[in-house]
Amino acid sequence: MRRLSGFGMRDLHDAYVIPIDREEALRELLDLAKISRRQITLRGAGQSYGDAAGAPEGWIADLRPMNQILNWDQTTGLLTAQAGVTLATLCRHVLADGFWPAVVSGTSAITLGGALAMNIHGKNAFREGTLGESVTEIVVMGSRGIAKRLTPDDRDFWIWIGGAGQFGAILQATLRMKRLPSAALEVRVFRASSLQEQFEIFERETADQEYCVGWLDGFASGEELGRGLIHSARSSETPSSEAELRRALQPRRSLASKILLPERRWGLGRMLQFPLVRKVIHALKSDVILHDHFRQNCFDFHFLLDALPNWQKVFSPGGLIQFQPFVPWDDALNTFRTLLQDCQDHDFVPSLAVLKKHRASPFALDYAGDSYSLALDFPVQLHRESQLLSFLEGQTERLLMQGSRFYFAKDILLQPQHLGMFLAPSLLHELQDAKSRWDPENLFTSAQAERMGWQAKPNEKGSPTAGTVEPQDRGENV
Amino acid sequence: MKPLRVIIVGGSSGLGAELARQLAARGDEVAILARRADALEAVARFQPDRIRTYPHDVTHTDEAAALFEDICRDLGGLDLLIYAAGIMPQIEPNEFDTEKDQAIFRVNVEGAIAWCNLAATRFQAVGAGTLVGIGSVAGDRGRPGHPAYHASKAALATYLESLRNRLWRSGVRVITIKPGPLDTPMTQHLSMAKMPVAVAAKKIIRGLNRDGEQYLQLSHRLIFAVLRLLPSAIFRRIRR
Ligand SMILES: Cc1cc2nc3c(=O)[nH]c(=O)nc-3n(C[C@H](O)[C@H](O)[C@H](O)COP(=O)(O)OP(=O)(O)OC[C@H]3O[C@@H](n4cnc5c(N)ncnc54)[C@H](O)[C@@H]3O)c2cc1C
Ligand SMILES: NC(=O)c1ccc[n+]([C@@H]2O[C@H](COP(=O)([O-])OP(=O)(O)OC[C@H]3O[C@@H](n4cnc5c(N)ncnc54)[C@H](OP(=O)(O)O)[C@@H]3O)[C@@H](O)[C@H]2O)c1
Repeated sequence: MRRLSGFGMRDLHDAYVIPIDREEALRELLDLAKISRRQITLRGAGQSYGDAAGAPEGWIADLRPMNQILNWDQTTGLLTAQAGVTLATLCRHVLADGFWPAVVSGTSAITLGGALAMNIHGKNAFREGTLGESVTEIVVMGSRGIAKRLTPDDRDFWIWIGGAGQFGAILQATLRMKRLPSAALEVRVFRASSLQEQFEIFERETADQEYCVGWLDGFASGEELGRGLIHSARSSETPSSEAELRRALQPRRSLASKILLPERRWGLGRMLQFPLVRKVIHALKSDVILHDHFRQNCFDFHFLLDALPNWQKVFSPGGLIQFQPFVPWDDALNTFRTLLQDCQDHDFVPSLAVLKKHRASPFALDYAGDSYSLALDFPVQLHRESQLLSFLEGQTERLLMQGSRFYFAKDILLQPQHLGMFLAPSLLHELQDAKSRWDPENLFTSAQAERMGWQAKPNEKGSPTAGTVEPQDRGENV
Repeated sequence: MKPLRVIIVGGSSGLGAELARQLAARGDEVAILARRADALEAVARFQPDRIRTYPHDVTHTDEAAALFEDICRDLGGLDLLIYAAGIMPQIEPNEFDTEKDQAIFRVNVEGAIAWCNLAATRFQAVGAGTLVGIGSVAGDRGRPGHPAYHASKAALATYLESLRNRLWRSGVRVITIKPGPLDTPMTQHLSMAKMPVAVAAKKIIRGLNRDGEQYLQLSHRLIFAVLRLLPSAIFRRIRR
């Protein structure tokens, strides 16, 4: 038994953690769960912000020990790895040969399984969509314990990826890596003095750059509402020197992290709990641009926050909520303006606000569509916890009503009635049908799935229903 | 404060029942255990949405582990376990009854060990939790009245002291409560000054964030500090 939580530390709970180091171990666990009528929650690195990989008192299958890279072919750029391999390992493995994943998230501490279960996006979401689009094959295991191979030709492939571990476990995946001219990116920095300008720069930069991300100052108000910095980047055409490559490949802890020491109770980092301190930092960041153009290695560019391990602990004990609505392109400017204004009016100013542009991705659970997303980090002050939660609940309802979507990796608020607000009825039905085929016993669950009421067709917990679709898994046995 | 998830073993009457009522009243989620289902139900009626009942005989120690797991699941976790089950059958001055004495040990000591070990395992693993054992001032000295009862409370106190010394580094609190006479069904037949359970429960709840042995009255703390030092030859001559 261990105490766990998501990255936001909001869902502290105790659970039985069972390390899974091979396929057979998972099969045995499934059998045991059936006999003892228990459910299983799959967990990678636990880097989802909310309760997606948790289950109070539940059985947690920890897939990190399944961490072998099974095959890497430089001629095709195809890499096959087990689900527990971390993105950091994977990136290092291929970068040495001049490759990089098509899509990476803002932290490299995640596992491949977790990344595909949520179908992560990166700073190039407007161009490359989601990680799932670069996958050529997955091997999965539903509740019957049979390993199946799924490729983009199988409809279920498009359902499993992004399925938040609710159909079963992704055991391994094959991904197409992209070739890089160098390990460095040419980064351009722009200062936007308003939200309107953010969008203008974004539209311009996303037309020909590979990556683009906006860092907003949540404190800026009035004319300056939404001001901040924008980083756009593309791979450098100038090949990396030995030293640059070595530096990129070497895991390191930044000097800043040593000074800020977020693990220490009274580390300097805890100053960030105070809104005033954050305000000054934002102001400095927005007003002082040291360079408007620089070269940066891809680890530093993509995984900026990894240089400060456990930075989220700065916000304990209240924890951190990330609220990330995905708003259709045309509405985004106005919607985000209102959202930022509402945050200020209620005195909930996010410690971090990150703007990204997305395009639709062909998966059943496409959380983005053609959208802009604004990821707002709210440190939770215990004395205002319930006000913050009801504020965010209100925003969720409002935004969903206006056609926004939300991402399970960040969510802590979605309720059963909300799924139908951003998933078409036919799609909901398809997901329900897939759940009944792959997991008729409702073996796979999570605190998030429970909260959202995501289960196989109504039946008594743990027992297959008479009359559910006769299981006919698509996909080839492995 | 976040509501606590609490197990009270011996929650159908007396001190355990009162602790359940007071904890539920302040918002905690409580599971109560004891043999008599109807008595448990009566306690739960006080606040049915926050008090769950689990009929269980603590002498059936082999059933404890599975039940413990089920209860933790129902509660969604566990922050506090209170072991309050205890018996003190009447013993005549000339009575030396092995079966009766063993029965006392089975409830007051063996049951306590079974439940506290389960909680200790869990609390140590997660690095948090509070364990409370209801001992008694009766465990501080071997008085003539109820030899096995005194011995059982002494055993409980020493066992809990060991747990405390094992677990303090893991962030787990182990508390031994040493009440004097309480006004409960256990002492109905005794005529002496007794503390109302409502008062005792309140003091215990207030002391939940303090590790160690706790008397419920300052006078007891002082008196027993002295009594414990007295040589037996003197102690036995004191009128009680
Ligand atoms: C600092 C930070 C920055 C981030 N930036 C981004 C970003 O830029 N873009 C983005 O998209 N996300 C981002 N995220 C979110 C993160 O990438 C996702 O939550 C990711 O899913 C975490 O992977 P994990 O291995 O930790 O999975 P977990 O959090 O452990 O699990 C996530 C989900 O996957 C399921 N799961 C885990 N393993 C498997 C498996 N093998 N098979 C089936 N299901 C499984 C779990 O049940 C759960 O539902 C960020 C998170 C952090 C902390
Ligand atoms: N009363 C006092 O003066 C006094 C003083 C100091 C310490 N204490 C201690 O305080 C604790 C509570 O006693 P109390 O005064 O409240 O007495 P009580 O009213 O008789 O309560 C005793 C509780 O223990 C339970 N119990 C007894 N045998 C059990 C068994 N085999 N399995 C499960 N549960 C069992 C009883 O429930 P069921 O009968 O329903 O099983 C009841 O809930 C005891 O440990 C006692 O030694 C009491």
